[in-house]
Amino acid sequence: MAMLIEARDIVKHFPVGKGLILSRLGGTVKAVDGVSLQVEEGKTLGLVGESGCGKSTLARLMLRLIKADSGEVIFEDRDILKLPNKDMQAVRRSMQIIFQDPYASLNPRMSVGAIVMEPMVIHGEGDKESRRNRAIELISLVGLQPEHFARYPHEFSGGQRQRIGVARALALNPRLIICDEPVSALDVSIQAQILNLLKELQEDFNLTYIFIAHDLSVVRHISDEVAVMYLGKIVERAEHDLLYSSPKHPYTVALMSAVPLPDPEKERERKRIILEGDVPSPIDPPSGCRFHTRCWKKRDICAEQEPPLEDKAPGHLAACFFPENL
Amino acid sequence: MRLPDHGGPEDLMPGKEQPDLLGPEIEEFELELEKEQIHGRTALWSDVWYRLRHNKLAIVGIVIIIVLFLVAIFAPLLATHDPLYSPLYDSTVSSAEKAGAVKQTPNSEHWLGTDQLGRDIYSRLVHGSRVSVEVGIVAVLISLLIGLLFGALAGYFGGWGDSVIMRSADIFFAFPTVLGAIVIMTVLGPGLINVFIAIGVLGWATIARIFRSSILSVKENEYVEAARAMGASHARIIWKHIMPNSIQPIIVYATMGVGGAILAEAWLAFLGLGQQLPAPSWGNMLSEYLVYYTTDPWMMFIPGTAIVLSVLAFILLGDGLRDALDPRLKGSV
Ligand SMILES: Nc1ncnc2c1ncn2[C@@H]1O[C@H](COP(=O)(O)OP(=O)(O)OP(=O)(O)O)[C@@H](O)[C@H]1O
Ligand SMILES: [Mg+2]
Repeated sequence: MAMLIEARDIVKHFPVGKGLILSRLGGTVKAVDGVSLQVEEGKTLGLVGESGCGKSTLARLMLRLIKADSGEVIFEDRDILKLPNKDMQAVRRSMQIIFQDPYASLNPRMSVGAIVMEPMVIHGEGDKESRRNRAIELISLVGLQPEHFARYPHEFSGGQRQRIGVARALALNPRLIICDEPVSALDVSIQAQILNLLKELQEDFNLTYIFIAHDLSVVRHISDEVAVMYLGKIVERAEHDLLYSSPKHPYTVALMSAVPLPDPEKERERKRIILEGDVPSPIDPPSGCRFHTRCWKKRDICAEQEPPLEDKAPGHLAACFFPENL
Repeated sequence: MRLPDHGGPEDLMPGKEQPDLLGPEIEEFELELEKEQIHGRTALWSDVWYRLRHNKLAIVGIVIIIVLFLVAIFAPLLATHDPLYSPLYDSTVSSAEKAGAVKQTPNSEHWLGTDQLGRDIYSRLVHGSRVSVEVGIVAVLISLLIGLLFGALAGYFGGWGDSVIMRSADIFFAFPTVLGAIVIMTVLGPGLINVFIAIGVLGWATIARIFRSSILSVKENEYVEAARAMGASHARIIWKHIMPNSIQPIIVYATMGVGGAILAEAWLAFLGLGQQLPAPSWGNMLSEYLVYYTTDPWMMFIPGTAIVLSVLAFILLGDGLRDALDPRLKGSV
């Protein structure tokens, strides 16, 4: 299968202070610090990590919404970070994003129809009439009513708004959609509806997803492959089944222990690993393995050397000197 | 959700009269409720109009403003006399008549009396309203044009352009309007057009500041990022996404600014810098009549009242707009 999108060693450090002087003194937030990943066409990569570990930044980098410090993003066999703006505009048709906050992600002064038609307007797609028809088709496709076309976002619930966001993302028939925690702000019952909708759409339109979440349970049902991020780095990456059946990195194991199990008997035996301490500051991340300050398997080498992200089992990458489940 | 002793949500729909039995808190709660209600097609501006209609002071402001504009537009029709005609300079008038023609108190011939030159004060007042309306509108438009442009550049693009723009705004901001206008007027010379320019140019800094900070908060919204991801141009993002969501405080400020400009014109006219005599403006009428405040105080009260009422009207409307545009904005700006 062909790779649709691939990130190669991508780096983004944000200067901390504002202004010319402070930003030089204050150091940098190492939001994304050398991340590589690939997603095959038609598949879903689940990207998981605690708040602030750089997931959204990585998403923005891959969509070229912010400038990367270094690295490459290969999309449809071209490095889009080096494309001139004009060519990038054409690429934008094929890559879209769905956001976490259903309230902030829709312009309150635009009707649902205008919101869904906007991508078509920007890319000069069709005439007024055909855009309108397409918008109504999309609105129905995501499970809303055609008469919602003329309404405004404040008239909808969170789940409905998220559907509007999905319709907007689909407007130009994209190949890739990055879903940045699309269900985190929703009630659990609504979460399942949106996840199912996304799944159906993926099958119908052969969409490729990068699905961001802050815990492993949400991505469980939608991912083909899962990558776990910690402080700007990927610490483990594997096929869905491999990762859930035998997590290698202690951080993944800890995250996994927080996921409730469907089998009540196993659920009773489930031992939660509570990580000590807070996530260290991304301004001054720990030396060596960034997880060593909170790791129960830590030895001297962990603070001294950075473990490479390498195959611990076939097709199962992890960055740890003392992996679990070998 | 229902309030006790109160009808269903349809009673809260704009367009329906409501019993005024509710205290202010409940009313506020209702407005919030109404906003959140899933009611039929509601353009956001109809919500604004609904809230504005229920604000009595704002309605007072609107009525005064409408009257002011009508008077200004139809001044030649409304005036009963030639505002410039002075019997003192009319050779056909006998000197005895001349003595009786000046400083008449209001009467059936001269509704608001005559001034020290025997001119009809009512007609001068009616014609003078044009100056106030023009100054208000033109000066504020000039301020808006400059302020919105630079505010948008500073807020949207940031960087060193932002620093340069905001530091220059600080300089303008430090000048009191009238003092600044005097400085500009001494350079440009007296005259009405220069008053427009002076007041207009001085107003840009505040508008730029308000717009900039409004943009800074609006542009953090994910819908702006969504538009960028779609490939929207900067112009489109500013125009379609940022402008409609950040313009509310500007609408409020500009409305009040019309009143401010009217007042500033009066000050400048007072100093002989605005409308040149004998053509009337409320400002130069006030400064002429002020001389007689011990002997004939009613004279100065006429243009004075007109100025105060107009300024007040714009402040009331601006205040009402602020609450109507966004109940959460209450107390800011
Ligand atoms: N524009 C920015 N300027 C400065 N620092 C930033 C910027 N954007 C993100 N950061 C910092 O980069 C780090 C990663 O942020 P990011 O939003 O990518 O995290 P996240 O994994 O998406 O978290 P969450 O789950 O809360 O959305 C954070 O420490 C954040 O403060
Ligand atoms: Mg995020």
